[in-house]
Formats: sequence, C-alpha cells, structure tokens
Amino acid sequence: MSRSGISIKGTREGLVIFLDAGYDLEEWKQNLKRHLESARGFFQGARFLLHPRRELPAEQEKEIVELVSRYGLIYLGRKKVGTALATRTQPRPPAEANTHLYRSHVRAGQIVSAAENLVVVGDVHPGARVEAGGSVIVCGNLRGEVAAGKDGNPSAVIVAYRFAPLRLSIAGVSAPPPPSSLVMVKARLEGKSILLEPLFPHR
Amino acid sequence: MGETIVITSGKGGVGKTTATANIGAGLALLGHKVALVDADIGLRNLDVVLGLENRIVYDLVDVAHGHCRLKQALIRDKRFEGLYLLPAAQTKDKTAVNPEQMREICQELKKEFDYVIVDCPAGIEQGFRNAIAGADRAIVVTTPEVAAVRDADRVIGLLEAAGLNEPKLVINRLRPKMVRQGDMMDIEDILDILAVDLLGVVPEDERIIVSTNRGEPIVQERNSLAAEAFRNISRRILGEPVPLLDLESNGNLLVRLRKMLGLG
Repeated sequence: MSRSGISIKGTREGLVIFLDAGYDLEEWKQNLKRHLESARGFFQGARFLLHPRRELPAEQEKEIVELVSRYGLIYLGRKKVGTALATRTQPRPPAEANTHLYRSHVRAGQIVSAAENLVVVGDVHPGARVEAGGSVIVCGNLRGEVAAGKDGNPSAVIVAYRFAPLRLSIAGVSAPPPPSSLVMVKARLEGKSILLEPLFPHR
Repeated sequence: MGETIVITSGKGGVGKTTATANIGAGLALLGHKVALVDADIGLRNLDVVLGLENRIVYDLVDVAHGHCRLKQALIRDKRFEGLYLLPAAQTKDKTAVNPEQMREICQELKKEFDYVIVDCPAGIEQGFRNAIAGADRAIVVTTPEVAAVRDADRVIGLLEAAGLNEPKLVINRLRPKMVRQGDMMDIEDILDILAVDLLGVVPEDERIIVSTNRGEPIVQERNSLAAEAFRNISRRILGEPVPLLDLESNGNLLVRLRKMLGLG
C-alpha cells in the first residue's frame, strides 16, 4: 500500500491517512481516489486525520481534504505527532525484556534493585526498598518503598498481593500511599498521576 | 557438642538481658548445662540481672586476650545447677574483641556446655557482629512497639545475611488489656510484619523489674505468667511443642496477674 504513496490506518482517533514523502500532490490524489473508489461506501461517515510525511502546503492540504470529503469522510485535522499511534510504534524499552526473581522477604534497611523487571516472592517490609527499571511485582505484602520505571519508563507498573507501600513512584512520579491496605492492586502511570486499580477487576 | 544461641533485638531496652538470664536459667532448671555470655562489653549488666556481679574476677576480654583460661572466667550460679556466666568487661569497649575471638570462645564453650547463650548488645555495629559470630541459631526479642518491630526486622535481615537463617521471635512485655482495647499491636500484627516463627510471648509483669533488681531470675517463680512464659520458651528451644500461653482467658493465673499489676 505504501508503494502508492498513500496508506490508511484505523486508530482510536479515527482514520489516519499517511501521505508518504517522495510523491507529488497529483500522485497522492490519484492514489487516494483509487483507494476510496475501491472501498466505496466503506469509509462513509468516518473521521480522518492527515499525516503528511513531508512538507504539505495549506492549499495542497485543502485539495486533498476536498477530495476525501467527497467520499463522505469528515476531516478532523492534522495528526499530532506523539499521540497514540506514534507511541505504539515505538520500540519497546529494554526494561520489558528481563526479570529478576528475588525469593525472600525484603527487610527493613535492605534495598533490592533490578535493572529491568523485579518479582519479589515474599513481603517487602516497612523500611525496605524495592526498585526496578521496569515493573515491580510483589507476591506478598508490599509495605516498604517501591519505585518502578526508575529510569523513566512510564509503562512500568507495580503489582502487589497486598498493596500498602509507604512510598511509591513510577518513572519519577510519586503518589501518596493508599490510606489502607488494598488487596491485589495494580498501579500504573496515567499522564502525570498514578492510578491504582484492582488487578482482577471482574472478580 | 552444644549449640550457641544469640539473643538479639536491634533496639535497646526490649528485654534481651532479662530474656537471656531467664531462658538460660530455664534451660538449667530443665537439667542442661548452660553458659551465658555477656557480649555487651563496656555496658555489662547480665551479671547484675543474675546477681553475680560481686563474683567477677576475669571477663570475656581477658579470655579473648589470653590473660586467663576460659574456665577461670566462668562464674558458676549456685542457685541453678549447671548455669554459668562469662561476664563482659566493664572498662573496655566493643572493639576489645573481634568476631574471630568470639567464634573461638563459643566453639570452646560448646565442647563443655549443652547451650551457650550470647546476650547481644543493642545496635548493629561491631558489638552485634561479635555477638553473632559464633552463633548457630538466633532469637530476636521485640516488644509490641512499631520502633522495636522495625529494628527487629532490620536485625533479622542482617542475621539472614550472616547465614543465621530462620531466627525465632520472642515478643516481650505484651499487655493483653491494651491489645484488647486496640491500643497495642497484637501478636498477629507483629508476626504479619516480621514473617518469622514465634518462640514465645512474655506478658508485661512488674515482678520482672523486682526480680532483675534483686538479681534473681523470675523463671523459678510459680505464680507469675511471665515466668511461665520463659519456662515455656526454654522448653520450645529443646524442641518440645508447648502451646502458647493463653493470656486472655487463663482464669486463675490471669486474675492473679491482674491483681499484681493493679488492674483487677
């Protein structure tokens, strides 16, 4: 598809029409027309975004939007770089790759640190600290300090059977400790705040 | 060949020395040959609690430095058949002995005694490292207070790091009434935090203060719950499965204990 200078992808925000670099306006229009003809009616009423991969002057954009709108699609605007699709196509951070298994309680004054993911089979006691470049999973009571994604990985999560950390942070964002001990909790980063949610919401 | 047990806590004032004296005397009452070692150099008081202060001639530091033979420094407790004390020096400090010397002394005592019980100083520095050097097992004493429990946790971690796995816990000075009112951590709370095996629970008992002041271990008292708790701990050390004292509904004894405490 991309050989034609046009590719279309469905995202949560709507259809994204990629306009590849190395093609001129006429080629784009021709190929777009062919795409939309062949899928006649299918895109009817859909919302779309444009994602040009080279400089796109306003009058050219207007022409393209006019063409696409003729097939019943609604223009939302330019695709913003760095939103859902862009982050999804990023390579996974290396922190997702390996897991360090720690099979003991982590006691006051002890620090267990892992470059990547960390699984503690045991409790993390008050006064202890567990930290990882990736996610931290505690198969036991989490009552000490916990830091996930300590090198800035925002997709890191913290999971504990019993969740009552004295301090917690994900990718440098910290949150106040929960007021009481929670059972089977997953903490994840949502924007600039940490969300606590049940590990098994449907149970 | 005997066994060396270190009694430690991290925090001071939780009852290590009292526990050492009473557990040691309890083991002696059960017919075992016991050596108590005071590793708290510079702040010795196991001899005071045992009432043996006036009989000290040589001490642990003298033995470590070869100023006397081990046997010369050991004090025999005449009230308890088989109970001996190796006192600490009062004028030196913790650096007067090193872990290697402690290991040798414990090793030598084990040839002669069934149990060598080391009273560890508070803290986690040199004195602690000396005290645990020759140990085969460890008993951690705590009180139902957050700070004491936190320090106990720290010490358990250090013991495990030193290869003294699965230390046993003694909860000292528990006040059943305060627990009932929700004003004190209960046994479950403490075990939940520390995740170790419980060796025994000793209730708060004013008579302990009297007994330590007089230099008479309370363990031989017949009508004290604390004494019974210490006797039970000694039996559990020998491997006997003794159930925990019921501090809540132990009719006669508890009523008497409450009266003694002025709560009845």
